[in-house]
Amino acid sequence: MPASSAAQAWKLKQPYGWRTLLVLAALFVFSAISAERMQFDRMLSQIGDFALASVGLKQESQIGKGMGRVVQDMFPIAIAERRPVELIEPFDEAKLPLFSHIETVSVEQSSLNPETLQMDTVSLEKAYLVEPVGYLVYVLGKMVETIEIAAWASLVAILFSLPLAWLCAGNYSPHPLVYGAARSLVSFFRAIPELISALFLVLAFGFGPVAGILALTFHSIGFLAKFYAEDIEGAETAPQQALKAAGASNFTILRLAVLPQVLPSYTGLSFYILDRNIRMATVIGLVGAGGIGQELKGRFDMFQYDRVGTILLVIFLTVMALDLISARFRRDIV
Amino acid sequence: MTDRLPPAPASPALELTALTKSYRNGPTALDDISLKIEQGSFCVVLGSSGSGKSTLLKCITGLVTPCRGEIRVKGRPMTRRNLRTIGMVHQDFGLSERLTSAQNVMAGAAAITPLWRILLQAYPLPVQRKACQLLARVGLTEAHANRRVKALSGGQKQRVGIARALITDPSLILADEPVASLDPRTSAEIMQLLKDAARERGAAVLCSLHQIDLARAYADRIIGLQGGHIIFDGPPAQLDRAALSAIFKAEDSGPHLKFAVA
Repeated sequence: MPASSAAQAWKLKQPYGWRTLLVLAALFVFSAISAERMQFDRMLSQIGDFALASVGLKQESQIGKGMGRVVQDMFPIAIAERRPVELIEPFDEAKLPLFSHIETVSVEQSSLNPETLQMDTVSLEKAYLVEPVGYLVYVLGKMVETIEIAAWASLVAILFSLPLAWLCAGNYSPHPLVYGAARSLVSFFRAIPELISALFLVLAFGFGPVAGILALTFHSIGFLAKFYAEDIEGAETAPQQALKAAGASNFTILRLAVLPQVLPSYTGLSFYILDRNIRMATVIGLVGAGGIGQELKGRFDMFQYDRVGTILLVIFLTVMALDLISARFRRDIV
Repeated sequence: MTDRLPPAPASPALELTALTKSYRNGPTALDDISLKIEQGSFCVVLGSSGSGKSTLLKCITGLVTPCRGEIRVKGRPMTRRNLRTIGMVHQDFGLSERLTSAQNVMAGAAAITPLWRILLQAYPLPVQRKACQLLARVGLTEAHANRRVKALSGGQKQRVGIARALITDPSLILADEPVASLDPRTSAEIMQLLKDAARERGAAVLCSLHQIDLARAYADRIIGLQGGHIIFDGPPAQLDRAALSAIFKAEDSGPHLKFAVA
């Protein structure tokens, strides 16, 4: 038959060709150059040294030395808080905090006697207020503050992103100029990393949670408004057309035909941003924007690695717990 | 609904004058269509795919802007504001799947509901009661009313669609292939429901169809559309083989149409 003989001559498109090989070869060359620039050789030799040292084939390695001291200082982690009484203002011995007690230690203090020009040693009684879980409680408080920063940032971002998404959605934006402006604003927000905006916001608003909340809010708006808008653009058109035919306004169509459709996706996105903000809130504290990161940075700079250990453990456990909770929550809602 | 304009009795439910629509880079979808639909009549626009049926209905509701021509509903020129005098039933139902049936029906009254009520989906009590009555009229129960549309069958969905089209007490109901995705038995039920519900309210119906048997069974008047022209206009009794083959003569639909005509 003529049809089948013609089919003999068909050429099917092949998934790979010589062009694919060429691209792969070029990629290989570029990654080799880049790996050299990124000092991969040094990284590999250091990791090799560490591996050899850890099985006892080598005396010591740089990684081992660096990490070893920190890790050794980290354990046991600091749970208690012990402060000299004279530094606590105001201090009332009758009203000690819960579960705390006073510890008195005699300290030998040497000082130069100006008359004899000799070193005198005086024995002094020094009182300390000891709170057995004081530091842990303090760190937990900081963690709660961190979660509050993230929650406020997410909430404000969601509230601002909803109307902004309207302006950013090509099919509902009132004017091409408004669309362009809104899109650029959102891209701009998304383009600045939180850590960098926090750096500047701390200069503007001072140390503390305000700078953190604002930094996280800006970035979250940049993310949420874009994805909210894309959901609007991709929503099924049949219900929208039906309401339009009934004379409904754009606002009505968005509320009654678009929002119900995109709500599951919006919930998922909003949970993701909350999740992410909690993790980011611990980081932006490093530049002084409040929360547990600020505490971490302070202790790290003072080489108090036992306290750093407590902080890291609390962060780690919290993020893990929140991950479990949000995963379950998301599954139930969406 | 309180500010509904009093009907002008003499004028037809729908009057189209020289309606023309051509899409960019496409053929003329509607070519100089003039048409009068009398009040309370059930008209079927019969035609194959691409004959201009959908475009005709979409022009009337403003979903498509005609290039030329005039549309008058009950003697008044069509504007966005008088859209409430038209109810529309859609081919793909056009319902918000995640809202309940009742919420979808009430959404039909959105154009006359204040924005804050839309935002909170808090419709006035009269609208709520009316939605319940309409849902009962189209054969659904209280349980259906409070169920998400997603959970309904195709036939039930179109019942909700009809209830929504009726909530503004329209004088004209447009139905764009209302039974295209339904099985034959359900199709017949829906067509009967549409016809009865419209007749009770004295509303005219303009319904596009491609099923000849349904058109014959329910129409008072059949308008045959082919390539954007009206090539047949008359009662079903006059729809003979010659008229049918003229309506369905599109070149891309060869053998099976002969079968349909026969």
